[in-house]
Amino acid sequence: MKWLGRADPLVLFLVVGLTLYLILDALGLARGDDRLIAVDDAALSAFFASEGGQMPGRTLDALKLEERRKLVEDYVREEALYREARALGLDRDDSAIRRRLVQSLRFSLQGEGEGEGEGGAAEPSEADLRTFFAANRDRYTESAKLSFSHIYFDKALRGSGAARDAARQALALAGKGDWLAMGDRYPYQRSQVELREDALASELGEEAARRIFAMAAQGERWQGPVESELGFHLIRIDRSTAGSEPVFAQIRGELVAGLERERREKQLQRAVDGIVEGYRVEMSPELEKQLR
Amino acid sequence: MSRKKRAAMLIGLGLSAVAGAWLAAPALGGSVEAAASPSETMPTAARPQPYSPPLRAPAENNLYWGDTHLHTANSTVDAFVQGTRLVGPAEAYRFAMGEEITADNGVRAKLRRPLDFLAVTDHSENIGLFPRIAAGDPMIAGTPLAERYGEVLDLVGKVGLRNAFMTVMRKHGSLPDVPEEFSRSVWDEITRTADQYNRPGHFTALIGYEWTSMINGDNLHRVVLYRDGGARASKMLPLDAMKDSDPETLWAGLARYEEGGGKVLAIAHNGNLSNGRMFAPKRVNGQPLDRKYAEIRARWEPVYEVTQVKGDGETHPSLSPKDEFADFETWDRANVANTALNEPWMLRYEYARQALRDGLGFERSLGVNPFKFGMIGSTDIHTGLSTTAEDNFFGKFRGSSPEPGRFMRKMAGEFEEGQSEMNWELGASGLAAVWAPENTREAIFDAFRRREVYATSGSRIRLRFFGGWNFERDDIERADYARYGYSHGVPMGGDMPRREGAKSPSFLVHAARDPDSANLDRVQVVKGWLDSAGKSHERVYNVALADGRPIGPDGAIKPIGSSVDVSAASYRNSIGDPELATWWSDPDFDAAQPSFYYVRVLEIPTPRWTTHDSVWFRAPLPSDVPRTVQDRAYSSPIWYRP
Repeated sequence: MKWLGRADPLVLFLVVGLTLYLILDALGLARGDDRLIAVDDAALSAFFASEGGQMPGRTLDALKLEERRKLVEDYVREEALYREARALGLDRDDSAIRRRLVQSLRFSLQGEGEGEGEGGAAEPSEADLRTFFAANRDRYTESAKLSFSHIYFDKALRGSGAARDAARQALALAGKGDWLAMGDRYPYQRSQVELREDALASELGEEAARRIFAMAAQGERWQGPVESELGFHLIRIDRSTAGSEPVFAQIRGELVAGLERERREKQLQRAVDGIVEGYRVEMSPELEKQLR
Repeated sequence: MSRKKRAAMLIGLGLSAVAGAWLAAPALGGSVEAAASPSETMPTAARPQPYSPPLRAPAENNLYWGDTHLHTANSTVDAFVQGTRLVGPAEAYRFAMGEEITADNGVRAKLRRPLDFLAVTDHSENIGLFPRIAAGDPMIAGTPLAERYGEVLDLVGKVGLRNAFMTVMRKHGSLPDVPEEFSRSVWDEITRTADQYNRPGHFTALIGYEWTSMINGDNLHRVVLYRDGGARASKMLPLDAMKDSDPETLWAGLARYEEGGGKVLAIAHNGNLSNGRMFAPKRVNGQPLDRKYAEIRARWEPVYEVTQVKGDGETHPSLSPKDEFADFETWDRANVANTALNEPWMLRYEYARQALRDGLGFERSLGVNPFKFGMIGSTDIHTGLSTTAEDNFFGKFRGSSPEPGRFMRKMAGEFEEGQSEMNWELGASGLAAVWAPENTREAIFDAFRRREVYATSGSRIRLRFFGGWNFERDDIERADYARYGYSHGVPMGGDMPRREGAKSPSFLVHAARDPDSANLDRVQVVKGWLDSAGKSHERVYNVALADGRPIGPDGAIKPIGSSVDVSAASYRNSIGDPELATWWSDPDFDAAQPSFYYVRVLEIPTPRWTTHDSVWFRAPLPSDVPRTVQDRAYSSPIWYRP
């Protein structure tokens, strides 16, 4: 065996590869007969597993002789019909099969390149993260939030003028009395915590939401009234949280996840583009005209 | 020799790269790390009462919206094999919190409004197995477990979900068991991820899983929810229905968990697919229900998931023939595994309203009501995307995600054999609404326990419901009627014991439309009661009607009409009212009869999700697909107990 140790690895590789090729080729010749259905244990057990629903809780080994024969017969019938269907090209124009194949390919493309290069499992570098952060700042910006309470005066119930008057009169009393019992029943929440402006806008309209968000906290003091689509509101700002710019160090973990996600998506996109670019597209002249 | 080995390895690698290509799924944040011990996070004991009265009882409670039943790639036997691969728990939380994410079919998705809470509840049976196999988790790579399940996964693509699903369920004995060490590692990762996204006061990530019991293919599924954080929840592995499918075993397991100081509850769903088992008068072992069973069931199952994508479970038209709105998103063809058709006698034991009625009878005969549940909705969606808006519905499986023609495919994929539901039959449903003092795991869990929760079929209809003995007609006009309701009555989910000399219970009901959606058609009170002969009855009262419609002498009400333009998938709030509020007193009250009252709110008709699809994808709708839907809310009941 000494010569083995001296042999060039490349030569060795080629020799082993050639041998393997010849063996496979010999087998391939046997398989090349498309009128031959070879039945072996591997084929049978895969087929049996797919038939599991019909033979609950059984294993291939536990089958009686009779059942085994039946299984072989079923397998042969299915394999023959499957081949015939393919020979007739039935797999070619079936949209379900097309979709399934495309899905399988996309799936395998997603896996490609994992653990190597970009898109791999390696932790992104600091510089990569900074670049990603700069490009995606908006996504990590916290929008302004408001915590407030309001007393509501219903326009539909009182009429617009009367509702405004009642709200103005109540303003003087609101700080002293039991504010929860003042005004009218409000359809939604009367005390809001960390509400975003767009959510308030869908309740009160954009103008009212904008005006309320422009108010500053003044301790226990009630402000307003603010008119909305529904009525008039006295407002007590409990806490106003300005929108905040993201701080790199605080959201590092989210950035890593975000960057890795982006890389995976880009890599899939590249793989798909690469495949599509390998094809030439020829449109019919009529279609070309339409699309121009 | 080492060179020869290396050469052989090279060839082997080349071959296995081809064979293993299908396995190379992206890691779902599922890089396998040694299980770090989760940090102590949330206090689990109730908070001590503060001295200041305003801090003790929040005056009016807040309304929080969420989904307690959502699957991700970690649901091995259905979500993953159906194509949910990129969306794991972390992506599901991010989406629920309002972030834009990409669905598994490549379509970008975003909620109009974020959810306030979410429970990711993957099937506990082989939880996380396929994602870990696909990611090449060294803990199992190359073992018979990974190989055999790899085969199963491969077969699914060829023989369809049902065969593969049944194969997995039935052949479990012959497949290798998942090592406990592996399950522990997966469960640690799941609870850790929930802790990571749980932000008290902003967003609640409830820890949970689904216990997937199917007896002969009949649905007895339960979602299990924890009050605790990962530090405690990770101490015991999720219970596995493949080891024992009797719910009584589940409850015993939950009791074992609570012995460790944690808190947990179970929520059943889809009685409509249980072929008469969900609210049957007998136990799984064939014995009739007894007092102990009733106590234990009521102890662990305070709420029922009454509506979700696979049909609405409030009532069935044949059980409530006088209820013109009973036939809503009805699924009554077969059991959940599609192995046996539904038969008429089964319906009686499948729907919430009848079960609430039967519960009154059991309370009389056994002393305890086994079916004393509040009601919530949730999705049971398997794509990780909790979507319930008709115009933003991402389907149940990857195969029903938005793309042309999705609604005409069979639900479990195009390779499905035999009969099964079509995707268009799915409902864009439902949501769990919770009245709680704050948005934390503890506060939300406690609201489920006291049943101060309600269900909607997907839109955010706001609903308050109080019962008491002394409410006056004017009380509903109070600005602080809710505070008054709490102090002078009970909220939804509560009990009204007998009061000597009281005439009739009265109720405050207040419904407001989803600010982003449609006006309201009407508010109804559904009453069920038990007569002295032990027979139960039901009646639906119309208590508030939009557009000032009167109730005719024969009880007839003019239908609300429709503002839907099917060809444009649009509607206008030109009909209906944005808000309906009323005081109502039971005109037929009999103090000797146990009874329950719950509220049903109907929206005006809006375009059903299929109509939105047909316009967006320019695909014609078949004639049997409903064009419009009247989304609705169901409150938890208030019980009167003589």
